[in-house]
Amino acid sequence: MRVTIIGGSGFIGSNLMNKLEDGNYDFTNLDKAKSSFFPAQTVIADVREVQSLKSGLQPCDWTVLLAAEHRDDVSPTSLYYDVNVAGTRNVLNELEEKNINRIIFTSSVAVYGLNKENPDELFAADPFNHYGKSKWEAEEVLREWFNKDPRNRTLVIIRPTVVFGPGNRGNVYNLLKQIAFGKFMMIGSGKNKKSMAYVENVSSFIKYCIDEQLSGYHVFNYADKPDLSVNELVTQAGITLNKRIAPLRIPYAIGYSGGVFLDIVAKVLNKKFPISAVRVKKFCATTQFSADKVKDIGFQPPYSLSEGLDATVKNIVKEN
Amino acid sequence: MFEFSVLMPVYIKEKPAFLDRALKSILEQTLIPTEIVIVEDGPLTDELYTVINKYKSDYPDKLNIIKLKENKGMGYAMDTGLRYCKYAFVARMDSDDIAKPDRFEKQAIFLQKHLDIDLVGSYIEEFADVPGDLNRFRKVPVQQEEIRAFAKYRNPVNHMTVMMNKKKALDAGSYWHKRVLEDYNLWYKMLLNGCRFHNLPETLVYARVGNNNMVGRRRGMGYIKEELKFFRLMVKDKFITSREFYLYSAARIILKLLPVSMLNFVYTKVLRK
Repeated sequence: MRVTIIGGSGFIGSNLMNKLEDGNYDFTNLDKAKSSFFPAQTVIADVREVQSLKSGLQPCDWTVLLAAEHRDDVSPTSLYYDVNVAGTRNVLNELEEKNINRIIFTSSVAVYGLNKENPDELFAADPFNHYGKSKWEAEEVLREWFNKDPRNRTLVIIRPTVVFGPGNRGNVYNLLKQIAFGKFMMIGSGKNKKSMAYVENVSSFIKYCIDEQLSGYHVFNYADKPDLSVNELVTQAGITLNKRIAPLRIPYAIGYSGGVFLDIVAKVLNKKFPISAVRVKKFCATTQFSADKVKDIGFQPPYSLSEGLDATVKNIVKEN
Repeated sequence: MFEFSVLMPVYIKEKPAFLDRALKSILEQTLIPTEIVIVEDGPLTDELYTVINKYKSDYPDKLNIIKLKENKGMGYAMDTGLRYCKYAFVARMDSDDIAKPDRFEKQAIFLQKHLDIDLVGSYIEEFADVPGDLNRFRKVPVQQEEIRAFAKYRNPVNHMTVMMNKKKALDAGSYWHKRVLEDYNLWYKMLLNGCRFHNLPETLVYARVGNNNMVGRRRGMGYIKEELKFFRLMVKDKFITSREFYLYSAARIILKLLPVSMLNFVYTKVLRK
């Protein structure tokens, strides 16, 4: 089976390629950056540059489109749309050209917006930031492509919640690192629950979709259940670290004001800080998503959420 | 959650113990059906009513019982029952068969993985008294292209194993009301409409066969006349060529002229594996 991963040099892609390497896959990675783990399989290409896709994308059975601007501090904001929407369109044009009919796309639960009541895949889209909006627009472009030939095409959209794991430098990493090194402050009550996704499970799910030869149009939320509250997350990290963690607690209003203040300072100094208003807001928000549908197609994650957290915290301690 | 109906016609000659065993196998599934539609195909015996009432009182919300005034055959009963089914997918079940415990779960998972598939069936294992006693299977082609090719001369689906898209079956004209070929004809019309089928390459249903049951209904000139009519329809629709029509018709006529003992041999040793 031939698989092309687009944007595979990143966190999820590297993990996925590790898994594909064990199976009977002939895979290629197209990325604007060289992959440090799979240099031999990587072809340099940028989804914004049609020519590079034309020469880089070879006929295959499945494409996995991971390439995206996903950080919450991308500027200018037009980059989200250039990469996530126009880039997707470029990829689809190439698929059409080369008669490739199956694509797996990683979208995001950001398409639902903040503070929704446990949305499942049928929930209305209401993205609150440019990232979410661009992912939703990309989905629409993909659906349009699918509907041109629904009998022969397959579109799998995966909407993961925040993805974490060893090697990632995202929000969960920052949080766990702060906890591990005693620099963590709890903003708000900590009772808000978070749906999270362990990278090993996310990439296993992508591989599962290929292994099982899914057909037709699918949308899946991805989260590892059961959800933990921020307090439980801290406790869980404490178990791995073998210490009792009693963080300093700050009311939400103060925490949020601090974030706004840091945003202003950042703007003035033209710098990026690990704490910002939007991050405080996200941290204190309940972000739970229904992810039952993956079970309906028989997928069982290879790791539990606490196993994932355990491995991640251990890795943070080892690295630092 | 995958929701689906089970459709099961029952007629007067069914043995109550068999019906009981069939219903038990449905309700002991790893994935329980959302509803079970039982079509009473004409008046039944008191013993059969007793079985049905027992399950109706145990599962009052799950069982929907449709009573037909007179027995008009499987096609009529299925067509009527299909229209009563509330859910998008309908699983067929014979009143004397035994479904393996994971039958529905496997079919539901398959359909949810492959949203372009309109009908999923499986192999069957035939049995006389207890599953396994005959060691006889009816294997059917697995993939769409093989199923289409097979359908040109033989029924490509084991009726009792089917889980299908209700709307697609109705769009294709549902079951006809003739007493023969009601399933083969429906598969044919669905395939003509562009429906996609898949058979899981494993046994999901144990199918009960009586003595000589295999042959009895299939003998006689009435049956063969209907078969030839059906194949002629296929020629008209350009599903098969005239040449294929003559070939398959000749083969069928020769088969029917064989003595019963030889015919049994052909069915059990050649057509079943």
